[in-house]
Amino acid sequence: MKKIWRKITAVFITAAIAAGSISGCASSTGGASTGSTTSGQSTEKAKLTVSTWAGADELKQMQAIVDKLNANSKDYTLTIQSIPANYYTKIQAMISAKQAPDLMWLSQEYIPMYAKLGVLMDIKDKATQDSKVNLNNYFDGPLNTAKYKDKLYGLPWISQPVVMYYNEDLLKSAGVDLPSGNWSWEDFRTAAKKLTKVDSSGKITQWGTVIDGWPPVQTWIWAYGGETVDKDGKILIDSRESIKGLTELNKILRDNVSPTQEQAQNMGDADLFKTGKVAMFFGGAGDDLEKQVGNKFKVGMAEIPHGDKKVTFSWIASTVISSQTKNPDAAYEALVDLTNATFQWKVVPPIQDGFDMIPKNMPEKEYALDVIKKSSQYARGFNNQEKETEIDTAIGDELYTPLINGKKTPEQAAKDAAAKIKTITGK
Amino acid sequence: MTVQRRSLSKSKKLLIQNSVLYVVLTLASIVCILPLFWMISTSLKSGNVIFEVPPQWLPDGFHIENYGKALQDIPFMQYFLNSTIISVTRLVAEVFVSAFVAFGFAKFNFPGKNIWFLLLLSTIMLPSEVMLIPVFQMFTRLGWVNTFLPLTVPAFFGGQAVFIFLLRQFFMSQSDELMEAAMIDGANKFSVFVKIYLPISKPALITVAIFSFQGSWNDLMGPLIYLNDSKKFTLQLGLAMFNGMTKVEWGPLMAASVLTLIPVLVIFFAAQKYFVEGISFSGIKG
Repeated sequence: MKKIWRKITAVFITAAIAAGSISGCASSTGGASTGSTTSGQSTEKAKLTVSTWAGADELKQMQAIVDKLNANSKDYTLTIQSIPANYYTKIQAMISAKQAPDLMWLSQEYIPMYAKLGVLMDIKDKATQDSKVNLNNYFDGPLNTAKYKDKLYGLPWISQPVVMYYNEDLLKSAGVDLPSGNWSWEDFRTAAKKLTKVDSSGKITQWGTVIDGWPPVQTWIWAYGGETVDKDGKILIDSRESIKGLTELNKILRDNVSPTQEQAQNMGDADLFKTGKVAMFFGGAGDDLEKQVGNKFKVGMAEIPHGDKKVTFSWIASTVISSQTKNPDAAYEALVDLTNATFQWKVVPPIQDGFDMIPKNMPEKEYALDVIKKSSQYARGFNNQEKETEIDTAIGDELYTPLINGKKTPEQAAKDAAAKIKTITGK
Repeated sequence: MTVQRRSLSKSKKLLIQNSVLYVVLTLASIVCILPLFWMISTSLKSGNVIFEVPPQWLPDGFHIENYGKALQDIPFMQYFLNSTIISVTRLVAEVFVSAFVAFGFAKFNFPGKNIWFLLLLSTIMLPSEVMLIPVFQMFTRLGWVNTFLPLTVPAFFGGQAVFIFLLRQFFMSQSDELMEAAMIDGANKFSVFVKIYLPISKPALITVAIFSFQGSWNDLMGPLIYLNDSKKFTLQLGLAMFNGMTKVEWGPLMAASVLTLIPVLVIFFAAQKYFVEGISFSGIKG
């Protein structure tokens, strides 16, 4: 009997040691920074981490950027922490355990929420005095998303304005003039109708456009002077201007020029465009559509149609510093270096003189450089609130989806959305 | 003559029944196999035909380069090794410990046995999201984050409640006389478990082992939360890395998915005989 016990014990100890040694050989390096630096008197380089949602290919490119920064810096060594899925779940778990990465990528919607929780470092004073940072060079739209209550919590590194991609072959064969860059939403409607083709059995074989919850409904609200919520949190989604924008959107939706929401989401809105089933598609200026379409047809890019004014939504992300960092000075220096270096990467930068690298880094976008530049000038983000993600969901559920499916009038949808947002914000 | 006619109509009826059955089964098999077929087919397609409408079921030539890219874009072999270490360690621990605990619940009486068992079962109902933050904080304090320990060590402490439940059902169906006879011959309770009940439970244990391996191998959330250093990532995290900022690399992603699936398929087919027996013994449904 003793032998059996010994055997069992031996098996367990071996397994535990194996697990321990395996884990041991991978000793912990993640989480908050290590190393000691006091401003100006560093004894060794501070070890910092930066979290990212970049994919495999992009990680390699980012690693090359970080390697250069590390080689040139006397103050820090930056390590990339890849979070390839469920980014914000992981970030929140790390923050709760005071293990937040020193630097983090944050999409615009999350900055007010994290700032309010006190997990982000205010960099306003440092940035305004820093010769390496020219805040005036940033477009207002992206920079505003990094601000919260008169403080600056990060530096935007990407601002991808929504532009209009079109299938040049389909437009030409339908006799539609190529978009001039000055199309109104009414011009867009006319073109979309011409580009929607129906076969003899009445089945739609080609759609003029696709609107399935994308682009954001603000595209139309802003174009006619409206807002969903203003900077101070005042609800304006049911204002006269906002309803005017929603009415213009509703006209397009009722023209049957877009696949149903279910069709579009099942088949993928971008995939519908890439396969030539949709003629005009709203996408980010940096989206990889041209390469993916290849030689199937000629892709064109134009500014988004305008209403009373020219405005487009921009997908914006910033790099922020965790308030839990043990090396705030080194983290700030790394933030500035990394942000400046990222402008040379294959992203649409949020700064006014950042377009020179686009032809080199994204040669397939060179043909549309002018469109990207112009769109960037009037591109903006949301007036992000502390509960922005909940507000976005409410707008989708109460307004955008019912409007797409023809279940509500613009007025009713706006009223319902306003009521729902009120319960979320309490304002 | 009447008897002949009756037997003829009976055999005709049987033929029709069988034909219908086979048609239904064939259709159901096609539905089940289609995603797998699509995955393999897509892994061999060039980038621009993946989302052709109507779908192109057969690849436009064999684009083996997707497999090359799958192996190069992420450190595939490193991730494969990490997944193997975690899955095998968990498998060994979960199978043995679950059987050990299940045996106790099935064959012994002790105060509060039913309450303890109910408590154990209630943990199955607890959503993992509820536990995420407190458990993460606990492992952080232990200094285990960014190691394989949070992913392996808990398996040594009670296994998984669902496995314990299933194995308990299995042990309960085995005769107590086996234990009594062995104890009369001088065996103690532990040796009865190890020498008698474990060997006769092979099908149930293998079934649990397959489920354990599959669960660990396909686990995304655990490794995502506890591992920071990308060198320690598992294959599931590696697959997620093909989802880039502006595009998804579908060809390499599908190729990597096919390669990731192979160990689970090999283990399943190798243990298929026992697996089917185990399902019939313990009532597990996949």
